Amino acid sequence: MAVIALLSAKGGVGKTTAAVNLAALWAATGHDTLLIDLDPQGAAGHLLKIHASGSVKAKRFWSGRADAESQVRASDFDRLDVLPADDSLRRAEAVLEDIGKSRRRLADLLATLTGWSRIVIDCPPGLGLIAENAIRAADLALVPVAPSALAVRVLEPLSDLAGERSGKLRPFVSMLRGNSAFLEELRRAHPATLSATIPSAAVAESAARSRLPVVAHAPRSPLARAYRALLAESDALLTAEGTAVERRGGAP
Amino acid sequence: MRSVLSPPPDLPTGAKIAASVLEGLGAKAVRPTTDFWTVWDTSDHRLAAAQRRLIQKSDRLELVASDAPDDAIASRAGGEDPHHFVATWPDDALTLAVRRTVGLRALAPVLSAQVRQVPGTVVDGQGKITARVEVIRYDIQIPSPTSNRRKRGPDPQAGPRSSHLALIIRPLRGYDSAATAVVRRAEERGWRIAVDPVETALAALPVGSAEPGFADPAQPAGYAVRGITAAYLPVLAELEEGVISDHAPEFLHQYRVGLRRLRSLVVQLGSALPGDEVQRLRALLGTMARRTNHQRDLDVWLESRDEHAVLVPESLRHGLDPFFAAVASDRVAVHRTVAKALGSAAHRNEWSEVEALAQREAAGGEDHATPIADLAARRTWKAWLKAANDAANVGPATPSEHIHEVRIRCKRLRYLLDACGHLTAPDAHEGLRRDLREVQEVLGAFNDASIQEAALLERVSAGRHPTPTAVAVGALIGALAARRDNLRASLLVGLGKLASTASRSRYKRLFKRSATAPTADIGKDS
Repeated sequence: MAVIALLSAKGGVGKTTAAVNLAALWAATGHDTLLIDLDPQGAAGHLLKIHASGSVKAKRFWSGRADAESQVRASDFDRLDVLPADDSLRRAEAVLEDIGKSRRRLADLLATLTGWSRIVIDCPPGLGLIAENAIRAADLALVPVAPSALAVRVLEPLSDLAGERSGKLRPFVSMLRGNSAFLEELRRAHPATLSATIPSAAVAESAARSRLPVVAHAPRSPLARAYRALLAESDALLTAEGTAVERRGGAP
Repeated sequence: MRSVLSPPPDLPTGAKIAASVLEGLGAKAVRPTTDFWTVWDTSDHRLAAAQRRLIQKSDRLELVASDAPDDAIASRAGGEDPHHFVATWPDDALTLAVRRTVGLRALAPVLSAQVRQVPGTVVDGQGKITARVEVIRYDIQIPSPTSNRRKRGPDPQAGPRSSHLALIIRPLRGYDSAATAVVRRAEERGWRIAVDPVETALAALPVGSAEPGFADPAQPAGYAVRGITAAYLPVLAELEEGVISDHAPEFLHQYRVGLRRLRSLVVQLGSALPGDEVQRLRALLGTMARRTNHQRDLDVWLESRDEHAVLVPESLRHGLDPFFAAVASDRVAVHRTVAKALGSAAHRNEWSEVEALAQREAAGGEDHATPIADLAARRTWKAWLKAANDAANVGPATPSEHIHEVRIRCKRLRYLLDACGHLTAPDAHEGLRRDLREVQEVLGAFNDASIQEAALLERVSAGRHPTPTAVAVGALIGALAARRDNLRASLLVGLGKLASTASRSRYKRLFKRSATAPTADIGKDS
C-alpha cells in the first residue's frame, strides 16, 4: 500500500482536482485506490458524485472508534473508492488536540484499512494537525504551488512542519498560465520540485460541472496529459523509494 | 457479492431483449461487448476442485475464484493461448498461483463460450451509479477431448452449442440497498436467483482422474480393470509430453510411477481379463517404462547431488564435481535418446495397442464378472501374504537383493490399497496405507543406498574419472554403505511389524474372503 497526500498551506491551488485525477488514473492503471477526502468542504467527494452518510462524528472517526471502511463508497469508476468528507471534519483540529497521540492518528487509521494499493489523501488547506498527520502517514506528499509573487515562500513553513520528514514533500507547479519561468524559479528554491506541470485550463471547470475527473471528461486534453505525467513521476518516486507496498507492512 | 439470475421461461427472444430487460429494471444500457472465453483446466479438473477458474479472454489470461469471478486472483495481459505446461510459463504471480494447484499436470481447454454482454447502470438522482446490471448471453461449447485443440475461437470438432441468458447484478460498495432493489424488481418479473451458467456447464463436465481408482465396488472386474487402464492413458500421455519437453525431472518420475502402478494393477487383477490380454499389457507397459530407466537413474543422481555431497568430507568434495558433470552430460545425451524413442512410430504403435486393449469388450478371465471389490480384496490378502512371508525372512545379514524383492512386494500391496482400498476396506485403508508407507520409506532409502553404491563402484571401475574424483567417489561409496547398514535396524523393526501376528489378523479380517461368497461386512475395520 502506498499513501499519497495532497496538501498545501493555501486553498484554491488545484489540490483537490489533482487528488481526484491522480486517484482516477491510479484506479485506471489497475490499482485498487481509495481517495480520502479530509477537506470538510467535501469537494473531492462532490466531484465524484459521492456524499457522506453523516453518521460518523469526527471524534469517533479520529479516535478509531468508527469503522472507517464502512463509510467507504464506490465511485463510478472501477477500482476507485472514496471515503467522503463529513461536516464534522470542521472540528477535526480541535478533536485531534483533545484525544492525544494527535500527530499519528491518521497513520494508525490507515493501518486498519486493507484492500487498497493506493490511498490518496486530499487535505484541507492549512498547516495544522491534519497536515502534520498526513505528512507522517504518507509515503509521498505532493504540494501544488500556483504561480504568484509569494508562492515560493509558502513552502518554507510546510518544510518546517514536516521537519525530518521534509524529504517526502514534492512540490509541483499547478494552475500555470504561460509563466514557464516559474518552474525554474521554484526549482531553484526547492530542488525536489517535480517536472510535471499542471496548466490552468477551462476544461477543469467543465469537468467539475459534469462532476467528473478531467482524465475521464477530456482524456485527450493537455490537462489530462499533464496529470498523467504527474502520475508517472509520482509512481517513479514511489518505486525508487523502495516500493511502498513492501516498506509499509503495518502502521506507517 | 454479485447476484446471478436466470430468465423467466416465457421471456421472448430477440436482438433487443437485453436492452428491454435493462429498461424494465430501471437501468440504462451502455455499449455492449462480445468476447470469447476459453476455460483451461487439467483433465482431472484440479483448478475446478480448488474452486478456481483459469479463463483466457481476448486481452488477458486470468485466474479467478469461482465464487468471485469479477476479482482476478492473478492475471496476465495478452489473449494468446497459454502453453499447456505451467512449467514453461513466465515467472509471475499468475504462474505461481496456477502452479500451486495444478503442479505438473497439463492444461487444456475444457469449455469455451462466446460471451455477449450488455451492461447497464442504475443511477440515483445525482447521476451517481448505484448498481451495475448486465444481461449476458453465453453460447457455451465443450471442446472435443480428441481434438487436442489449443486455438481460440469456435472449435469445429466441439460439441453442440448451448445458449444461456443470465442477469448479473453487482452492488457497489456503500450502495447495497440499490442492488437489492434491482434484484427484487427482477424477481417480480420472473427472474430467479441461479448459478452462473458457466459454473453449471463446468460442473457438468466429466472429470478424469490424476490417480485413477475404482469407483463402483460392484462393477464386474473385467470392465473395471479395462476402465482403469483407459483412465490412466490421458494422464500418462500428458506426463509423457512433459518428459519429451523435459520441463522438470518430476514429469519422468510421475510417468514411471503411473506406468508401474497400472502394470501392477493389471497383473494383480489379471484374472479379470483374458490371459493373453494381460500378458500383452504387461509387456507393453514394461517396455514403455524400461525406455526411461537410465534417464531416471541419472535424474536421481542429479537431484540428490547436495545430499550426497555432505556425505563426503569437505576436503574431498571438489572431487565430486567432475563426477556430477559427467552425469549431467550423460543425462543430456540420454534424454535425447529417450525423447526420440517416445516420439518414435514404434512407441506410438504401442500406445495405440494399449488404447485398443483398454477399449476391448471381449469377456474372458475367470473373474471377469466378479465384483471388483471382491477380487481386489482377495488380491490384497494375497499380496500381503507374499510381502509378509518375504519380510519375515529378512534378518541382519539378508542380502540387499532379497530386500529389494521385499520392496517390490510392498509396492504391489501399496498399489492395490491405493486403487482399491476405499472399496475393500473403507474404514481402514488410510491407516493401512500410512503404516505401509512408513516401511516403504525405509525400504526405499535402503534400496537407493545399495543401488547407488553398486552404480558408483561400476562407474569408478570403468576408470572414467581422475584420481581426486575416484577418491571422493570412494568416500561416497563408504558413506552409502554405512547409511545402508544404519538403516538395517529400522528396516527390521518395520518389516517385523508388517509380518506380525497383529498385522496378519488385521489384513485377514479385512481382506480374506472366499471367491464365491463375498460378505457385506468384510472390509470394515472394527
